[in-house]
Amino acid sequence: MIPASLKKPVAGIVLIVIIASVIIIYYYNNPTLGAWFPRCPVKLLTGYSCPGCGVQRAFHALLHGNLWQALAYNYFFVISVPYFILACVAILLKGKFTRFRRYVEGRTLALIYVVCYCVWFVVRNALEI
Amino acid sequence: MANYYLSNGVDRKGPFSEDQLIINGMTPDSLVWCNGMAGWTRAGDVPELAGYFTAQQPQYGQPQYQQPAYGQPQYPQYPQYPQYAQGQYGQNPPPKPDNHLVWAILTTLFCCLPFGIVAIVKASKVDSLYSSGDYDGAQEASEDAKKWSIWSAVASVIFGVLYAIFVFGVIGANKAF
Repeated sequence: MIPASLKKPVAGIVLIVIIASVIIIYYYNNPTLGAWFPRCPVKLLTGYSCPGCGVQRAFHALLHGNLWQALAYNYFFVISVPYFILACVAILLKGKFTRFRRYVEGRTLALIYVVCYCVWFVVRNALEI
Repeated sequence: MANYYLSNGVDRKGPFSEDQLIINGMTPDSLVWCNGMAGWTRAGDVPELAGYFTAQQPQYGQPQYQQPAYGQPQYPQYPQYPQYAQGQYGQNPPPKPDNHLVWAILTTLFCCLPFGIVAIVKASKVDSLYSSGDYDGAQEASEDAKKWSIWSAVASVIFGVLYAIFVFGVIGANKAF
C-alpha cells in the first residue's frame, strides 16, 4: 500500500494526469463526430435530452475558445458553473467567512439549484435546445 | 495510522498524522480529536501524544488567546454548542463532516442520471444538521452525499462501457458482413 504521507501527492499526480488526458482527447476530437464518445443514457433510452446533455460538445468548443458556442450547447452552465465555483471557494475558505460558507453550502441554494435543474430539463426538451 | 484533527478553539485543521501535529501548531492546551475518541480532548491529556510535550513545556508565556485584552476573548466561546449538544459528545462536538458538495454538483453536470440531485440535497443538509447539534445526522448526510455521487459516477461509467461494447460490436458485425 501507499504510505499515508505519499497519498496526497500521488492522488494529485493521478488527478493531473487524468485531467490532462481528458483535455487532450477533447481538444483533438469532436464529440459530435466520434462514435466512441460516451452517449447519454437518458437520451439514448427516451430520446429526451437530459439537463447535462451537451457537456462534451461544450467542452470541445470551450477548448477551442468558442465560449458562446459552448454556452449554446447547454445553457444550464449559467447556473451550474457559478454554483460549482462557489462550492470550490467555500472549501478553500475552510474556517473563515463562516456565514458565506453556510449560505453556499446551505439548503436555500441547493433547493434553487434543484428546481432550476428540473425546470431546465423540461424547458430544453420543450424548446429543443 | 490515526488521523487527528486539531483545534485552537476557532479553526479546525486536519486530518494530520501524529508527527504532523506539532508542526501545525499543537500545544498541550490545543484540542485534538481522532476517530475512536469520545470528543475533543486537550492534547496534553492524550497518552499517545504525551511524548511530543516532554521536551517543550508551555511555561514561557501564556497562549495569547487567553488574554482578555479586547473585551470578549475568542477562545472561551468555543464550547458554545452545549445548549444543543447532547448524548455521547457532551461539550466536545466531533469535526464537521465534509459535505462533498463539489462532487455532487459535478455529477449533476456529467452524469445524466438524477442521482446527482439526491447527492446535492444530502450535501446541503450537512451544515444545518451539524449546527443544530445532530452530529450523527450530519455524518449520515455526508456519507449519503458521497454515496450518491459515487453511484452516479459508477452508473455512468458502466453505461459508457456497455455502450462502447455495443458500438464496437455493431461496427464489428457490419464489417463481418
